[in-house]
Amino acid sequence: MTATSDGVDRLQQEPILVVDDDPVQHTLIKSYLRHRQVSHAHSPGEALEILRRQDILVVVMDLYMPGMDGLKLLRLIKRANGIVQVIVITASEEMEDLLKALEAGANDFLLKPLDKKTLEGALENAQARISRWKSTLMELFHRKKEGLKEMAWD
Amino acid sequence: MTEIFNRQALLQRVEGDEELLEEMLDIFLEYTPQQLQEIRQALKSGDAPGLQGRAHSIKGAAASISAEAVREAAGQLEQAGKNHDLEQAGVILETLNREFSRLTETLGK
Repeated sequence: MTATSDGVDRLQQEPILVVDDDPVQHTLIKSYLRHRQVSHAHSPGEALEILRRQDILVVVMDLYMPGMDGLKLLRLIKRANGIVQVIVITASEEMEDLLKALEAGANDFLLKPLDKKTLEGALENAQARISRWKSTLMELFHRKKEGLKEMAWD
Repeated sequence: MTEIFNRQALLQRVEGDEELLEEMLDIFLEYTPQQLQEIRQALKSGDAPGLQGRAHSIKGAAASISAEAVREAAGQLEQAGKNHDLEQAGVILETLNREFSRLTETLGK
């Protein structure tokens, strides 16, 4: 097992999808996350296609992209699977955009220009929420199983 | 006058990786002329939201490479698009073009 500096086992780190129309941002994030499994989409359409094909629970996305409003993409992602952790990154300076993104289900909101520490912090939080969700599911599963066993003995 | 390029800030962002810094600059310089062309077309056809969106993209990318003057002009252009003020947008676009040329010269590319 490979332990990372943040103490999270690398094997347990979730794959990430990065959605942005800006190739400069992709290059920067790719470098920041070079030790992680990252998929890259350059448009909302491409992002949805990747999410349909792959089991990805962490999305890092821009809010303004041509072709589809980022908020619409955000809602579609959340509607398809509510546990997906969406980290919005934007160059917007409007407070209103932040509030709309949170209402649409964004789990975190970061501003451009991005720095590594901020991104890693947001990903760590996302990872922690997913791990919590998974262990809660396991707990529920065990309780159900125990309940069924008891019913069988009764 | 706003600084054209803050190399130190970018170098810090890429954690001293000169190769990555150059790669980001090259991508920006390659990608931006197409965006500027699309802004000119949007201006011609009176497409304020299109202009706003493209200006926003340039603003974000310029922020990532610490091209401060380009970022500032693109931000003003985005605002003009948002206000549907295409006359003002035309004036700012000239500034943005000028700042982009200055950046290219400064970087010696």
